[in-house]
Amino acid sequence: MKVSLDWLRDHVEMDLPVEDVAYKLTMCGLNCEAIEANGTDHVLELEVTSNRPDHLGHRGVARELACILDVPLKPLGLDFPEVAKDTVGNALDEVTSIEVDDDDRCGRYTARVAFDVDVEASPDWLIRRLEAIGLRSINIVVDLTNYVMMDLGQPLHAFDLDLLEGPEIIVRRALRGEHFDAIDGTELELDSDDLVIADSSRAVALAGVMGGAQTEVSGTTRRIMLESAWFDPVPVRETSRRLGLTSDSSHRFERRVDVDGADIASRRFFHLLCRETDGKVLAGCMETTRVGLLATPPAVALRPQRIEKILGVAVPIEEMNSILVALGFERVSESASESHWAAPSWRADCTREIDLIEEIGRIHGLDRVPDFSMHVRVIPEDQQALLIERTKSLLEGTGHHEALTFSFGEEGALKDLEEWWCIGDPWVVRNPVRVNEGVLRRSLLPGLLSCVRGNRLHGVDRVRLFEVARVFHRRDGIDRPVEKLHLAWVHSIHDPVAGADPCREIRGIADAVLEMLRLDNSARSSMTWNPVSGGSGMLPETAAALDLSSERLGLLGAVCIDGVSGETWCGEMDLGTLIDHAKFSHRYSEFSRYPGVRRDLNIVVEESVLWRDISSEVESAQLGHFEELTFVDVYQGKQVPRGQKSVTFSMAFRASDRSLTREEVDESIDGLMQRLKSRFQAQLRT
Amino acid sequence: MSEGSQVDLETIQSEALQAIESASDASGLELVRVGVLGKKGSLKQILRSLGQLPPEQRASFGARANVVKDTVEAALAAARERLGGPSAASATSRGIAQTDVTLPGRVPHRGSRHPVQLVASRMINIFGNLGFQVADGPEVEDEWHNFTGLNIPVDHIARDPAENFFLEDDLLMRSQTSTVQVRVMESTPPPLRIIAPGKVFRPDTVDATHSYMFNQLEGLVIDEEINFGHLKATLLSFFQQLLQEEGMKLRLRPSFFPFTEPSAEVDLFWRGDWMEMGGCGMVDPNVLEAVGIDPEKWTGFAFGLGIERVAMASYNIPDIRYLYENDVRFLQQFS
Repeated sequence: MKVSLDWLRDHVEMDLPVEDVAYKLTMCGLNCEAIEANGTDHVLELEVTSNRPDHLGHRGVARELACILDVPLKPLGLDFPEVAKDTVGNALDEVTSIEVDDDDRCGRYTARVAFDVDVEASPDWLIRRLEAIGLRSINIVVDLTNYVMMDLGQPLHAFDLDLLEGPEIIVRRALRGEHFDAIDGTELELDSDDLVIADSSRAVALAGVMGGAQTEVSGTTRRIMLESAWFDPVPVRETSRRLGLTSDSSHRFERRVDVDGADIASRRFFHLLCRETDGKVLAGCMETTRVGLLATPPAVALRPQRIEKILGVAVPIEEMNSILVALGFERVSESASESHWAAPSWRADCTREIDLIEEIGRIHGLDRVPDFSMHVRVIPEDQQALLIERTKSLLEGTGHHEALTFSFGEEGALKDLEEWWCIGDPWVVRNPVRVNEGVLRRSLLPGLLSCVRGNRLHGVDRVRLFEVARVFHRRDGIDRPVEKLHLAWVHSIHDPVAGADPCREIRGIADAVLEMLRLDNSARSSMTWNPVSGGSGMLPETAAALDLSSERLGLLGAVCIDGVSGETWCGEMDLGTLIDHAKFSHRYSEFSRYPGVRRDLNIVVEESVLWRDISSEVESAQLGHFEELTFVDVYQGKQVPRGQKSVTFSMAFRASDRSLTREEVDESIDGLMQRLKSRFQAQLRT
Repeated sequence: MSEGSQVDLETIQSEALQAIESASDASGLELVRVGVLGKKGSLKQILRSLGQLPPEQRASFGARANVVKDTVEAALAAARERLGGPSAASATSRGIAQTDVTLPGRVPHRGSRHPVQLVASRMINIFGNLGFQVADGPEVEDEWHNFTGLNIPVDHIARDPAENFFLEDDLLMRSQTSTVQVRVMESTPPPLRIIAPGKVFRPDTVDATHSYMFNQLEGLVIDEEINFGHLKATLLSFFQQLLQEEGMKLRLRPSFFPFTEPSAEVDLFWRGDWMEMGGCGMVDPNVLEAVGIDPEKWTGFAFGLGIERVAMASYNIPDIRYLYENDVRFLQQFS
């Protein structure tokens, strides 16, 4: 909110440079975002928090300053002469009447009437005040409504009484489709949720938001009716939002104006009107007020030792009392251990002891609270976080850049890749910011691949990215998304090096992660990589899945990205579930210090035979002193018959208690070859 | 040949020692080494005739030959020391190609961590040193944890559907990591000292400083004697550790949040500017009561810091959108 320093001085005597005023306000909760010079005046741009509607007027800000500077707030002139009857001898109740049909939305409605008003240009002081804060002067009546609103925070609206088809003014819900011409020239179609001020034939104001064009005060106006009301905050906000129409008035009503303020603001307006014009005010005030709205809230107990417990500083009782009194609180009673305080009507936010403690804290100065160190506390090591950290280090160390993508995704784009992880409907976002982010992602790869595409199209020829983040799955019987931690990684290269084996490179990352995680034995023994025949979103015959029994834990393969050349391979694993299978305790195991024997085997098999099956045959043969199996090479070409391939692998044998002889191993190898022959018709390649 | 072989061994030794004595440089020594100990050297040759000796003499001859070998090697080593030359033979003699040793190294492809994650890790470590344990909560929340449990009333503007990413029913993407506070307090009795880093979601218009997804680090302490002074000291220690620069200033400026009271903005003066780093305050008694913690016995503080803000300030990144483009030319600067 814009605040004029001269205007503040109308309320409080002060002699401080503007920077000091700005700083003091900032440090008590009214953040000053900018200071602008305006002639001899200065205008402060203050950030008003949503709990302080009383700061949406100069007097509220001045009250804060008076409290900080410990000076009194100047009294406000509210008196004005009244006349019992107007020129034709009518009293107020003969001129107008108020009926509130919907007191759920209109807590209070007051109206006063003035006649013989010359609606002329405003005096200089008024124009200066309004222009300082960016308002344009219109005429004395409209300007005074704006001035009082910007002074006291209470919106006012003046009608040309002769344009109202009265005498009765009704506060009611709008009819569905009811037409309304707003004062700013917009034509609106209302809804039955909107509250209007109506005369006998039409809506003349949108309650709390804007007045109507047909009854606005102009140069020809002679009689005015001034509305000063209290509308409930939420309906005003809803109407304002639905119609896309905000005003200084709706801004204040939405934040809850002072329930006692309506009458004070109305009197202030007429005090000024009578001072500046020859207008005459009809005696009395038409008013309807919802039962209980003005009830005094219970007094709040405040214990000095509680202040110290929360703030960490003992504020002297005298200081505490003077702060609260300056802010408008009233001490109702006092005992040795506590005092009771009634909050002013403009501080609906202060209903509890803690609210008073905050007041004392911010005025005393939060920066005056001493620093206190907390006692030492040792936290247990977070094993899961440690493994996530190691996974990321591994990916970083193998040349991947970590990406950060959004949790949203696009339904249908790379659908197979998403559905491979979770069949069924994705979770839909009701109001996405971008049209292609309408659902929660079920896989990290679509987002990562879109980053790859961006990079490659920007001329980065070799891209390696990874991400560890959550995906959101739908499970029967669970009424919220199942959030799973996934790891995904991508290798994309414009010009693959001859001899490089990108499929094994992408798999190598998975293998390294699995090895690093040290899965428990049961997981390790029942986990297999299997070819995926289709429906995975990967290119046919490139996809492999990591399965643990029937659970899907990983997928890798090659993908085709629109407009991106070369090869793109990617992998994704359910890191969260893998970590659940990780062994956290780790022990040294004895190793043999005797030399072992290494034997390479080169066998020829049908090309359909998978390494998965060869290796499991070797592992399950339980060869004596068998230590380790290593894949060496696979070859297809002139050297082997068509439809077949040669597979080379190396086996290490070692005894724990002696040097192994070749002869002992030969026996095992012969036995293994028999098994491979009978299972795969394997032949030794010579 | 028995006698003669013995004599030959003596000769080999004495000639070798003489040659070593008179050698003037490393290559001279190398010649002696190859001539005596090399594959075709005199000692190797004489050992090849070992098989012609009667079996009973083989052992003593072998032992004697080893002594000669050791003696010559020791003399060679001593001579090398004396000549001060390189202790090993030349690289070429070992099959190592000669090269320009000033050529640049062949650097393995290095990856990198995302700057937001780098900063998050640092923040987690520093708070870890201050005794804060990492807690975790879902990115998809219900209204109770995102609003009600945090003292945000039903008609509060923050609950407006246009201000949030709602899914089905009352589920929404969490708009703040404070949700984790509520979850931790529900499941764990005090005392508590936790941080919760994570993604939060608000449908803001995207510009250089706003994104509709960003990362926050939430902190929560609940204990029997915790006051605003502890909050100040904790945040001050944290920023001192994080920035490690002179001239840094921290200021807690009164503000308003529904879930803390008193509430304050965390303002940081760094490299000549005041920056808003997040919000903080004493946990509101309503928040404690909502999870069944007695606010008369327990007090606490909470804070939420923007991780992107810290990352942008630390690395001088001008636009928040750079953080989510994942351009390799950007990312590799953080390797």
